[in-house]
Amino acid sequence: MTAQDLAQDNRLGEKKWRRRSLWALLVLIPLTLAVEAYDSVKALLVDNDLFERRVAWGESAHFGGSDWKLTDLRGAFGMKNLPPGTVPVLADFAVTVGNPDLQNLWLGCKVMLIDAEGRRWLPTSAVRLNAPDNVQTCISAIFSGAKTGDVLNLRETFLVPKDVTNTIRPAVGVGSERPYFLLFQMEKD
Amino acid sequence: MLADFTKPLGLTFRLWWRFWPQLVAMVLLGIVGGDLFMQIAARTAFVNHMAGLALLTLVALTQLIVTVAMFQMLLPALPAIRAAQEAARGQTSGETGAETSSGASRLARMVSVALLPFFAYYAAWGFLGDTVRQYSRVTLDMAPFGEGAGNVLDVLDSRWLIFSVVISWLVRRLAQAMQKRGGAKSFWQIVVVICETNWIFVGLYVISRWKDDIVGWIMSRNIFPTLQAAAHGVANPVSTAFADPMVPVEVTSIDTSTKLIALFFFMLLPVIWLVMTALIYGYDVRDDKGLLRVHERVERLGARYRTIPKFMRDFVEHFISGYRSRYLPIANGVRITLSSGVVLMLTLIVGYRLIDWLAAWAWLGMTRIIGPHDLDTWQVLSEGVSLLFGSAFQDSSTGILVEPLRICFLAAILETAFALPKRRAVEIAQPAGPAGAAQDA
Repeated sequence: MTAQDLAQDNRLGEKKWRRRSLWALLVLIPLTLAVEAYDSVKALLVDNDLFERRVAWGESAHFGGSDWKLTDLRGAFGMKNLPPGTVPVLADFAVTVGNPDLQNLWLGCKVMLIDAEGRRWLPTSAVRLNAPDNVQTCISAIFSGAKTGDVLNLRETFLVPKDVTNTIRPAVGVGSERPYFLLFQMEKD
Repeated sequence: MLADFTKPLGLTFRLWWRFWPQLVAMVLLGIVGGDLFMQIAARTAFVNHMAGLALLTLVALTQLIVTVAMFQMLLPALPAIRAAQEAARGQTSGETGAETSSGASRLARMVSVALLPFFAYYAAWGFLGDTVRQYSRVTLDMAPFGEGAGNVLDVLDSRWLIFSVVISWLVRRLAQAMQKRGGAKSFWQIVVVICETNWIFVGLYVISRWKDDIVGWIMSRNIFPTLQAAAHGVANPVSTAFADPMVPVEVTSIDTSTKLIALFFFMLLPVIWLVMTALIYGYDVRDDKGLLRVHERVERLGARYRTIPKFMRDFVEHFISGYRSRYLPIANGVRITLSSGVVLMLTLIVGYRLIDWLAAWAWLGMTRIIGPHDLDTWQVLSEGVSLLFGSAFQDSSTGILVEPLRICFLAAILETAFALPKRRAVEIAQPAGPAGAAQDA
């Protein structure tokens, strides 16, 4: 074999490997991304409310082992000593307990309001409104020792800008159901 | 002079354009392999802490193999380096008979040559500590608060480390014996390499830990402040002649000696990498003739050594020949690097740092383009950005756009150094004579 043949062989071999590598990249790039980002993607899915499940007005939805129903969403207008342009909003839920293991199923329970632009508001403790004794928050209900079949009355208080009161919808996320969360629709929807 | 500057840059891009799919694929394989070995090491650590640490060496070894393989891929496009290799091979084959070796054993041999310098660099630049830290983080993730397995790093402080080194030394001896007996040569070569990696890895880490104790002891002796004051006085004779007034920290300046030390280390990293490149390509250059040529006195020393009676020389060679043939390329690599000319060295230092600098800015620019998101989303996005450009915030992270460019640049610099008219002239003027008896380890 002459030196020219050898050079020709080398060039062909190199071209073959170039082609093989290009094909390998199609597999290797997604594979590497998947391997590297696995933990971060898992954390993103487990810790965040990403995908909504819509619940029509007046209906209840099975979520985190219990049946959730939105009973009321109203603004408490006319209160004093609030930041200008804000209004307190109360969201009431009736939850029929199915699986009583709330400490695991409802871990990281988060009730929020979401407006048309996707902005989210979490409950506030800046506003205190009188409530009947049997009304609890999502977190306090976890430790209430509720049994299967009990109906829990949950109320969360929010403080939102006045101009979004028409578009906000209540939503609920719990640890055992993430990345899915419930988005409750109003009567007018 | 301008050609010295522009030639390597042009060659870098030509190399990159010709080989980028292979290089990028190799970097990706390295990342996946490193991650895989890290997971295996962490899982093994739950069974046995020592075994986990031993497997951890494979993570560092993967990085080295990937780097060596990438350099090897570029070889067809580097005619001057190949010509030098052919010349060296021609000389050795003249004495010891033609050497036929498979691709795997060639790679293993190159890896074993680059092993010690690579690990020295790895330890000196803190990557060894990074790897161990990454390992302890992975194990902590698997067992929060060290439940069940306890602290996996406790073996680093125990006397059992010596036991581990002894085991790898014994396995290495066995592999060497098997290699001599013949059959599956390249497999045993790989075993030898892994064993050596293990004791170098463990040894360097232990030394770096003991170093802290030793430095602490020396510091407590009150020697250092005296030396420091003396050095300071030499570097800034005038400013220290007066009592220092109170100066707000914002307007203080960094003194000359600190600046010089920082500049030295800034320039050292590219030079070390060029030496490593020279080692990887120059594994065949085992001839000590070139090295002895450096200085007349050294040459005379070599001649005097050859006058020693043969039985005594054999006795000495018995102990040093393995190391001499292995670490001669290191000396040769340093020689080749340092005699490459000032412009080329400057091109190397500036170009190498420019690639780093551009990668860091590309990383930052990319984060600005993506814009603000919540933390969990950013954690996912950052993995993608770091895969492209590498990340200064992650331990030993390499980007698929940056690492191939860096390798091409180093190879281009070395190719230019080999192709320098000066070197050609020297090689023609001094035709190959009988080479020193250098044999493979």
